Amino acid sequence: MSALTERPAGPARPALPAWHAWRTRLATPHGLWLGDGGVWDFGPLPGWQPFGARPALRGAPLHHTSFEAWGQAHAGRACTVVLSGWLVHELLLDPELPLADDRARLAYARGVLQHYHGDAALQWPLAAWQAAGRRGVSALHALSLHTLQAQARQAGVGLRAVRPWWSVALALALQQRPTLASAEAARLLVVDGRLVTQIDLARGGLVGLQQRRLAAPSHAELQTLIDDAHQTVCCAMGHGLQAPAADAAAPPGPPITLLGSLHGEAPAALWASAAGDRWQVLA
Amino acid sequence: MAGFGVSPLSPQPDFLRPMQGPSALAWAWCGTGMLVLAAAGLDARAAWLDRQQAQQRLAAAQQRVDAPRAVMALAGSTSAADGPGSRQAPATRPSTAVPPAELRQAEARRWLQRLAHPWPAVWAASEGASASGIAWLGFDHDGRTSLRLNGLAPDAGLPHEAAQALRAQGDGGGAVWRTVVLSRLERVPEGQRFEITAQLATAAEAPR
Repeated sequence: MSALTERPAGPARPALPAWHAWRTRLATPHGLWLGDGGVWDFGPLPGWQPFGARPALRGAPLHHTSFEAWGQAHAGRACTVVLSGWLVHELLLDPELPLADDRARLAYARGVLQHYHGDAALQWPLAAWQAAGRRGVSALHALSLHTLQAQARQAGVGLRAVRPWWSVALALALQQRPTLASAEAARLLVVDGRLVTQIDLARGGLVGLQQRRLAAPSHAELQTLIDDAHQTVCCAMGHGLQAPAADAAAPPGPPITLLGSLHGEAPAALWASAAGDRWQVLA
Repeated sequence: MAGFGVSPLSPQPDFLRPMQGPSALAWAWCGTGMLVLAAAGLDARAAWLDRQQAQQRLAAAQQRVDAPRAVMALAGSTSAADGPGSRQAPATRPSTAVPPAELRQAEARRWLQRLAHPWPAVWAASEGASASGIAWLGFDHDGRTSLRLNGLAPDAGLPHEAAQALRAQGDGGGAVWRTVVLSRLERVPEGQRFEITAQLATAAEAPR
């Protein structure tokens, strides 16, 4: 080999040839829900597909023990990871705060998180968001983003996005129940077993976001989260609640519209592919 | 792009992109603005070219208007035919549309001749005998010399009277018409159909 063709010592070559990288880049991402119990694969996301659009098949999500296991089984694919509420902390920023841009917001949120959670919060990945004028920050505390990215790289899968589940659930609920966006006051409960992310909306604007714990994963406990009856529209979606006994009476209080069953190990769906594809609404 | 449902109300935090860049709407606005700017620029360029062309046309039209005036002024003067001044006007405004000086002089002469035509005498030709019951059917004058009048008279004497009136028509300096001939006279059910031809006496003296 001549001196011209000899490769200088430098960063290692990518493990995959270029066309593999392009295939990964063009692949339709799978929607993955990542919780404590592993990974649930909801199949390719709907949307524009470069090579022959195939309608996404809606089936039961497939369980994998971990993200690494999913990646090894799906080399060359891409994914969007949706994180269970147990993995993230949420911070809704006061609109009065003098924060100029996202960089300032993240720095402010880092200080607040450090105050409450200690120095471990200094390493947490943060993500700023905004909705209808309100801004907030999500913090990923239970997972190393670098590890996730390294596992994806090693398995040859594309990691497109890592999002908290409540944001996906809110978009889905607004699509399923447009009255949520038009009501004077509405509340969406995103149930993750005993952890509930409570989203308060006022005429479509996000006015409240907090994580609340249930004493027991039951419908009766869920009912306590809407004890104040001024909300005209209350919806709940999620998983991990105990199925009520067949002869149990409906819990007292204002009714909650359940978007799908709340009893599975994972969310029933991450998206609704078409307008007609509405879930069976219980209660 | 494949993705979850996107609504302006639903936030989209993403740990891979911690800070949100300009939204898709901002990019759309930017693209629209650039498109509008580009369209306005193209339009302005087209308008500028149009203006230039219009100015060129205006200049050419101005030349065409000015050139005959200069020639007429030259033709009115006595010895302008081959003088050095005859080529000054075209030389100051060089253009391919300007005809040669001789053609323009001839045209100027024709115009002057037409301006000198005795139009009042021509129009008065049919009025001399109109009170006598003749119905005039045709008045044909070629603008130079010849005149042809068609008419319908109740009897054969009136056409002769009309021809006589034409011969007698004068403008103070002599007869206007010469060789006045009643060239046709025929009987039709309505009366006498006739035709009078005449030559303009003054036109014969004017330079052709």
